[in-house]
Amino acid sequence: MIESTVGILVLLGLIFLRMPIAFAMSLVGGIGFGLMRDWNAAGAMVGNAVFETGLSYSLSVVPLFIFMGNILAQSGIAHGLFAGADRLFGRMKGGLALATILSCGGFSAVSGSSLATAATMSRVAMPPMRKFGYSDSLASGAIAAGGTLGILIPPSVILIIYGLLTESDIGKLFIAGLLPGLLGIILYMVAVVVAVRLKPDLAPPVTQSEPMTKQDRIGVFGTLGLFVFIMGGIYGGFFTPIEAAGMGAIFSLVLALLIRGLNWSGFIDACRQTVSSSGMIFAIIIGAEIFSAFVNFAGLPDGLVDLVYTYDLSAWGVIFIMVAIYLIMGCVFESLSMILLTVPVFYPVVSQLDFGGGVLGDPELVLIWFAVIVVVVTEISLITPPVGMNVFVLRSVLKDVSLSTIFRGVLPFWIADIVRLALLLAVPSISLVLLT
Amino acid sequence: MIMRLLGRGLEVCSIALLLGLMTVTGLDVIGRYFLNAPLKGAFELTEILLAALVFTALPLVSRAGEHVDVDIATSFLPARLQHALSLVIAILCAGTLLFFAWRLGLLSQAQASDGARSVAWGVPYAPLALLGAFMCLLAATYGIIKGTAKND
Repeated sequence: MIESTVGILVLLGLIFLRMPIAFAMSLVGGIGFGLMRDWNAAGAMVGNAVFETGLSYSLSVVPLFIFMGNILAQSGIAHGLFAGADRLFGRMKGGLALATILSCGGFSAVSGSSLATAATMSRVAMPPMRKFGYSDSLASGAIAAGGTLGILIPPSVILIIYGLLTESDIGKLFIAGLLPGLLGIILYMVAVVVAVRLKPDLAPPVTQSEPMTKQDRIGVFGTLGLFVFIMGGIYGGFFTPIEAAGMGAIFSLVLALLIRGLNWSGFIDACRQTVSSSGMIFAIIIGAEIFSAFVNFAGLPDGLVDLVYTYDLSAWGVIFIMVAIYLIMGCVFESLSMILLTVPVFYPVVSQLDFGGGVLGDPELVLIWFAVIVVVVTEISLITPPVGMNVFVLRSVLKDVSLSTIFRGVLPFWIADIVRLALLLAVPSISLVLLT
Repeated sequence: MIMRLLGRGLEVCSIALLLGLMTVTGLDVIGRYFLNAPLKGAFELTEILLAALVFTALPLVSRAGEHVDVDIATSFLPARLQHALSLVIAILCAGTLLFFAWRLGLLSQAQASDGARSVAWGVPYAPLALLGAFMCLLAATYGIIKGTAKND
């Protein structure tokens, strides 16, 4: 336990000195492993981790789902989604903000990337909201928060990675994410309605919806089609969740070409961004692998289980402590590295907790429910100051809106997220009812 | 000139690998359902293409300085200290990458003498590990260039 604690502290220190997270984890993990065992074994472990991580069939979903998202971002279907949602809510006060939430949810569900969603939707939704006199804080807050919705709604890269780390059934994880994801959309919409009720000057009186073009309609049906294709393919047994990534990328490429939304430079851009995001993510996965090898050898997971027994902590007490740790870590950590660092350490503890029967009587279901909780906490971390990644992405696209304006606009959605987290913790059935 | 050509080459290779990865899945699934002939060894082809993609992407990320880092603490430091710190960090990162390269080189040698090959297609693993070693070396070089260049 002491060795792991020192390792974690050194890791945090290096990260705060701005060492890239991937290399900080590799360095501390490799040296820690070498000090505790021997240098030869450490060298072999590091070499294998670097070589084998890329050779992992399941991880092929990472570049392929990202590719799908980047193609969709280039294709212009986001505009269609926004126009369609605007038709639904245009007659309500704050209607464009509601439309932003719904189209963000839809777009991020199929693109699987919250950062790509925030970047894409800010180009689509921000100009009309500005034109009709929405306040910058509500407009940018809705986009930043809306972008986080999709990482829970299947298909979700984060859920796949959780599944790989804990050997949970990815198909079941996807089903579990569905209702909590929809709940997120509904609560965000409630947040918009409440915010404009409390501060009427955030949004103008009712605005006129723009008519939908044929292009927009194809965008809406294309997105629905893609979702049905992926989910139908997985649950109809035509392809596995792993293959769904490649098939989804092909579908979105065909869709983008059909609606003439993709030109050559857009295509090359999507490829380039996919390669660089993949490289970045795999560097982190390799680092996390090396660091995990160290803390596992140092006995951290067993030490935590012992700690739970020694202090006779209740199952709920442990869950609350973990959620608190995630909320604190989320303030500074990037989402994927947070999950890769914590899940391998936490899940052996979680699978041994005794919730006294009910839906949480089955350890497999407990791990699936915990996945949903972890993803929701991760979503919250994406919009929590000081390092809310989505807020930063938005800031880099909307150069004339200040960070504090965006964070102010995010506040109602942050509150909605906390409400959702409490609901999901209190009522595990929301996540598990479709499975039982 | 050479560096630009190298960067361009890396980009072209990585994009080709990405599209190859997508195509393998597509051929496998479509072949399985419509032609009753799944792609032979699609599983291992996917793995090899992915590993090669990851390796070629690594120097590109280092070149662009896109590795995820946290700058909330250092942004309060004076600019000169920040610059010195980023140089130290760049050296630590390069050291880590050089260690990766060295171990991958050793691994490649071991694989070459074992004759380690993939099952279905018999692709030897040693060149893949060697590619990894070379790419880590390249990433370390790019990292140092980026770290010594003027801070942004």
